[in-house]
Amino acid sequence: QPVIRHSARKKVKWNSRLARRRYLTMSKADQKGEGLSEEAKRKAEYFEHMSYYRFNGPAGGLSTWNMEYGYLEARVRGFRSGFLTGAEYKQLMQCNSLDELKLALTDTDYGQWITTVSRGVDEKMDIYSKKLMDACQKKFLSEFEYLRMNATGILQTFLDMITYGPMINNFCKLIIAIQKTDEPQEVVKALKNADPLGAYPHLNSIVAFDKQDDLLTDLFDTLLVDTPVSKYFWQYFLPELNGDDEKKDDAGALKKFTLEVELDVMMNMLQKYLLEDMYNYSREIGGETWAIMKELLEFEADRRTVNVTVNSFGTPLNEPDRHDYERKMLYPNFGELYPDGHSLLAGYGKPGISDFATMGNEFKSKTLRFAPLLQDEENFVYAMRQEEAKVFAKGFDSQSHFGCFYAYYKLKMIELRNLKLIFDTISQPRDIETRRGLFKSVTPIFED
Amino acid sequence: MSSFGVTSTGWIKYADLKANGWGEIIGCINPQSWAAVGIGLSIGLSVVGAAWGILLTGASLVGASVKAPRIRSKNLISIIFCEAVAIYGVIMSIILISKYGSGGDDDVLECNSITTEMYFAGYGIFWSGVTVGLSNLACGVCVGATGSGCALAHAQQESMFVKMLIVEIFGSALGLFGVIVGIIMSTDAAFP
Repeated sequence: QPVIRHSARKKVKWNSRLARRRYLTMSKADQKGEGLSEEAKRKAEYFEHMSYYRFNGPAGGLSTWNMEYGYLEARVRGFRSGFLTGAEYKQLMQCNSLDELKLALTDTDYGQWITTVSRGVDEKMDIYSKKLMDACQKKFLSEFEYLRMNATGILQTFLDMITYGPMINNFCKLIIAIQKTDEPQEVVKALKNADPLGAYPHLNSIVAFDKQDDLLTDLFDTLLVDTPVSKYFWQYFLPELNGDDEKKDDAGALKKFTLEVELDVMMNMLQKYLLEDMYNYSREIGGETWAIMKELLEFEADRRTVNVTVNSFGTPLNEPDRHDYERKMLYPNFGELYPDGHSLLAGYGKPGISDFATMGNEFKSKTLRFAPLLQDEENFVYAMRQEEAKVFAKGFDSQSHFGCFYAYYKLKMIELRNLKLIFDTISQPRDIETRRGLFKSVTPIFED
Repeated sequence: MSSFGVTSTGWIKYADLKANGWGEIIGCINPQSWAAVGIGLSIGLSVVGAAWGILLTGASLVGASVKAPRIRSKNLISIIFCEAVAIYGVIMSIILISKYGSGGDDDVLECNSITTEMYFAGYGIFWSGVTVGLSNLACGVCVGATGSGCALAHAQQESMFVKMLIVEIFGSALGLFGVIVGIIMSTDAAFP
C-alpha cells in the first residue's frame, strides 16, 4: 500500500529579527551562490514530490523483472564499465601537475566532463583542483539523476532511500553549523558544501533559524517534518517522550530538548535508523534483491559498529557510563556482529587509552568479522576501504536485483574519494615519499 | 446412444441428459470447436512466448547498447531466436488449418452422427495446438531471459557473446521439439 504523506508548503518563519537581518545582509554573491541553484532546487522539488509514495511488494524474478527495471539495470551496468581501472589510476598518480592530470583524465570515462574545465588566468591550484573535482562529481550526479528520473515503482523508492543518507548529513551539518558556531558565514559555507545528492528544495530556508536552545525541535516542527527523512528524526525523538508529553500538544511535546542533545551522536543515530530501514525494505522486496542486499547491508552495519567503537576511543563517548546506553545504541541491530560482537565491543575503551590490540586479539579468538583488519592499527582505515570495495563489487554479481544500484552508488563514492585524494595531492608540489604515502590510500575497484 | 438432448429448436432436455449420461456434455461438443481452439492456442501462446522473450531481452539490450554500441548488431540474434518461436507457431497453425476442413452440410450436428474420425481429428488438432503453444511459450521466455543476460555480459566483455549464444541455441531447441511432436500428432488428423 503506498503511504501518502501530507506536505503544506511552509513559508519561511523568521525566528528573530536578527536572523532576518543576518540573512538580508549576507552579500549578494553569497545569497546567489548559496546552497542550491534554481535548477537544482526545481529538480529537488520534483524528487521530493515523487517520494511521497513508498512502493512495496515483490519485485518479480528473472521472467518479469526486466519489464519495469531492465533498461535501468542495463544502464547501471554500463556505468560500471566507466569506473577507473587500476592502470588508469597508475597513470593518474604519475602526473606531476593538474594540467597533466586533466590530460590523463580525458582518455578515461570522465573525458567529456573534464575537457570543459579550464584554468582561469593565475588561478590558484586548489581552486582549479576543486573545479576539476566538481566536474567529476557532476558526471556522477548526472548519471544518478538519469536513473532517478526514469525509475518507477520499487526502484523509485530504492533510489530515494539511497539519497536519504546524504540528506541526513546535510541537515545535521547545517544544524551543527547553526548551533555550534556564532558566525553566519559558517552556515553559508555548510550550505555551499552540502552534498548535492541529498538536495532538498527548502534547504536554504534553514538560514532563517538562529542559535537557540530548542533549535532542533523548532526546526523539526517547521521544516524537517515535511522532509522524507522525518521518520528517522521522529524515531530518534520517540524514546525521549514519556506519557506526560502526550497530554501536551505536538508543538510543546518536543520542546523539552535542550543543548544536551549531542549533534554528532544524533547524526550517527539517524544513519543507523536509515540503515535498518533499508534492511527492512530489502527484506520486504525479497527474492534476489534480498539475497544480495543482505550481504551488502550487513557489511555496512558491521563496519559502522566497528568504526563507531574505534572512532570513539579518545572522545567523550568512550566513558564507561556511556558505553551501554549511548555507544551501544549506535550499533545497527543486524549484521554478523549482532548480537555477540555488540556485547563484546560495548565494553571496550578505558578513557584516554585505545584498546585496539585487545579488540583485535579477541576478534581473532572468536573468529568474528574484521579480525584480520583489526590486527594492524596503522593500516586499519586503508584495509577497511579495500574490504568495502571488495564487498560492493559483489553487488554486481547476479541479475534482476536492485543491489547493483546500491553497489554502484557506494563504489562511485569510493572512486570520487580516490579522485579527490589524487587531486589534492597533485595540486601541491610534494616529494616522492609524501606522495607515495598519500597515494597508499587510493582504493582500486574491481581489482582482484 | 441417442442424441444429446438437443432438439431442433436448440433446447437441451434435462430428462434426456439424465438418461444418457453427463459424459455427453464433453463428448458431444462439436470436434471442430476443439480444433479451432487448438489452432488459436497454438498461434496465441507462441506469440505470447515470443513477445515475452523479446520484451525481456530488448530492455537489457537497449540499455546496455548505450554504453557499448558494438553489441547492437550481434545481440539481435537473441531477438531473432525469440521471433523464430512465433514463426513456429504460425507454421503450425497453417498446417493445422489445412486439416480443419469445412463445416459440413447438416443443420445441426447430432451427437449420434459424430464419427470417430471426427473425434480423432478434433482432439488431435486441439492437443497438437496446445503442445506447440505451451512449448513455444516456455521456449520464448527462456530465450528472452538468457538473451538479456547475454546482452549484459557481452557489453562488459567481448568474448562472452559466443559462449552465451550456445546456451540460447539449446533454449531455442525446445520450441523445435514442440513443433516436431505437434506435427507428428496431427499427421493423420483430418476432418472429412
